[in-house]
Amino acid sequence: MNIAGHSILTITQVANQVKYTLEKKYTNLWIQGEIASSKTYPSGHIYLTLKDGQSELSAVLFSQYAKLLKHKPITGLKVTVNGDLSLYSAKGQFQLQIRNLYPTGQGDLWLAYEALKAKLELEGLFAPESKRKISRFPNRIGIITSSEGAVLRDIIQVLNRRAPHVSCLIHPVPVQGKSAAGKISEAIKLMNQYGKMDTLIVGRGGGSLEDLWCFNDEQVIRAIYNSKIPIISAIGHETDTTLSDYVADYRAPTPSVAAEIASEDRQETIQYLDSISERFQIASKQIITNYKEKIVSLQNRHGFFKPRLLLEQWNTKLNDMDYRIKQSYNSIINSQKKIVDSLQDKILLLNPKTQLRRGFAIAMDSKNNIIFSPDQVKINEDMKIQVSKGIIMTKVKEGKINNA
Amino acid sequence: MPKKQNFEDTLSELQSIVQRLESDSLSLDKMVHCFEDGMKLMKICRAQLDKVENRISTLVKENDELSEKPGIEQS
Repeated sequence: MNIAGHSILTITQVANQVKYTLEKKYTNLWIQGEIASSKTYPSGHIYLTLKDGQSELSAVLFSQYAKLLKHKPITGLKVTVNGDLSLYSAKGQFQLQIRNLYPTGQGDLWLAYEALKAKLELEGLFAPESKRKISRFPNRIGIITSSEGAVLRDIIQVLNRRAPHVSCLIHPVPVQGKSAAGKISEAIKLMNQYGKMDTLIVGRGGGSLEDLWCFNDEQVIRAIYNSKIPIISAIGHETDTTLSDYVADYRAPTPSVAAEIASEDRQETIQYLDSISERFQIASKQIITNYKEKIVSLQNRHGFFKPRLLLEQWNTKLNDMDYRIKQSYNSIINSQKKIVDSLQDKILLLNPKTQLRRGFAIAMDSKNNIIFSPDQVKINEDMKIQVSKGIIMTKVKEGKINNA
Repeated sequence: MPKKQNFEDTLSELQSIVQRLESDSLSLDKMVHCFEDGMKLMKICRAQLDKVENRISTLVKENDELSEKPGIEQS
């Protein structure tokens, strides 16, 4: 809208512009003051009023930050807070959205923490790509923690249960006090120098902010970063995040979880090996079956039948020829036999004795020449007549030649 | 096969062999080789898991020499 050269804004437009300006300019503020009032809503958000001698500031701790607080924001507490300004449009009030709240004194510690964190982050110490992979099947795990206390006991207990085949090398260190940071970073270096382990766990049980402080020490952080052995951090409780956790290759919320991350469960691994073993059997059998099928299908190919078919054909031909040879042989023999038989008959018929038996006689002269014509003999010449049952001696009485 | 291989490498070799075997285009010779290699690696893996002693020792430094002592030594 525009009236007489002035642009007219709605309330929301003003609010949005102010909100934009506030959020752009007043970000990541560190503010010191005293809590004048504090009220927790069922949503988990905490609404606070902060004040100093002259002024008041509305502030809100949204539930996701409120639940991480280690110190209750009670009225009268002097605090250092970290957060951003914004505008609560519904009321037209600007307010501080708090991310972290520390009792004053600790605030300085956290300023140092934030400063170191920013510096190391810039150097790339927390970069995801510089994280080393944690071996799931280590031979040996190095543990840097206090030789007393629950941390070592928890880790060893979990390893005994899950991975009794994994051994541990311990480097005991003090985990709080002035010398702790130096001893811890030295231990990390010594473990690396000694080697012979796959994973390192650096751990400490829960404690106060000051107790955990050695894990925010630059020496320790750099020692973790420079470690060739992958490091799992297990420091304090889940809500405590030290810079050592940021730089570690894996951040475990508790020592037990660290031990679990550091070792695959033995039984599960055995089951997995069994499943691979089964896959081996199945795959090999499959390959063999495939080859067998190939052989069978080859055997059934026409080519393999051809020789046999040819052989059978030849065999049939041979049998046929054999039969035919035998057939013709027999028929030749038979016909020859018939000829012989008929010849025999003829011969039998031609036998003179047969003729004699039928009553014919043979006339011969005295010299046994067969007489065919009367002119072969003379009158009164001796003559023989052969008949079937003997010889008759006679003489020629008369000769008469047949008229031709 | 290298003499001293860690479990993870052995296992991943085992996995790649079984995958080759499952890829179905292996000659019979190669299959037999794969199978034999696989069984060897399987044996190595199982042997590593069968070491049932959770040996605990402590790293100690004496006269600038690093060594191990069995059990948990106090710091």
